[in-house]
Amino acid sequence: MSERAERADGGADDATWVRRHLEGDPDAFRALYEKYREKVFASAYRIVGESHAAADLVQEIFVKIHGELRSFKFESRFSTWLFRVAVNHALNKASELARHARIRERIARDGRGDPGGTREGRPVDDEVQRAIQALSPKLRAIVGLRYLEGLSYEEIAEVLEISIGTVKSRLFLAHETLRPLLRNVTLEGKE
Amino acid sequence: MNCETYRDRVFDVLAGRPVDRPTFDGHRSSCASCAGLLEGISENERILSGARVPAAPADLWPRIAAALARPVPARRPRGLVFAAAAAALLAAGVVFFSAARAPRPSLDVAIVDASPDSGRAFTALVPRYEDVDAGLALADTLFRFGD
Repeated sequence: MSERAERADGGADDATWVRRHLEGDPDAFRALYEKYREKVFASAYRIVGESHAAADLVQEIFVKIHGELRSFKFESRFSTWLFRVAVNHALNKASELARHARIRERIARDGRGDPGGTREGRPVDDEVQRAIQALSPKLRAIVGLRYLEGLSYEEIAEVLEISIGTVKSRLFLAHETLRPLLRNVTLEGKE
Repeated sequence: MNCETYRDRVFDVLAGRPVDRPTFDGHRSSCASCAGLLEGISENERILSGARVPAAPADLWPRIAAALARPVPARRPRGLVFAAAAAALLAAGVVFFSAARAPRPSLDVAIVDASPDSGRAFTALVPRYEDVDAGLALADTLFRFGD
């Protein structure tokens, strides 16, 4: 683990890193990046469903956060604010990518090109991701926050700025869509 | 308990939160559509929580650092942009209302009777100006034949 990552994992909390960054500490933003990059990447991946696009998103999100940290009010947790920025940015990108995907599919159908693949890692993980891709971007976001980041219903409500009842009803909708798609997926024995 | 409340409580049960269990179980055993919900969602949750996502690429930080190092294109101050927009809107408004209120020559039409007795050859739409008499005189001049 790098020295910066160790610093991020150890002592100082997020608010302290933010303050240090605002005071001009050149390492503070890197520390926040090291702490959250995997989480932001995972959330972005769940929403856009493709590694390269998710990596581009992480870059854009951290550049955006760097520019907007001065507006962070310290009233909510940094992680909540970060996820809000990340999810909103990823949702915007998802609709843009969906438009491009439709164009790629049309080109592929016409025999003029390759639509490209989204296969990543274990087949079972691809199956799960394909099932998640059947959801709307908003439902993908909520599934990612709940089952990937492990956020509570209250935390999800705060990140997405919706009520807890809406969180649960969106989760219910997501599960209704996913049930037939995940019926034959078994995590064991497929690795 | 109705189905909607039951669905809400399912997520509380799955999160290990206290619910009125007899009421919850009572609905489950009496409602066919809700009967398998808890198990179905629970199985979904197990799969979703167990699925992995790829790791973030290692070379992301240099890309971010490079993006942060690039000079930000100079932006006009927002206040200046708003002031310019407001001034343009005001100017457009002044021009519009001035044009709307400026006196314009009134042009109207009058149907000039051209009955056989009138001596006019045909019915005509004749421009009628502010000065009606002048208009009628003009019409007479133009359409009176055989006088």
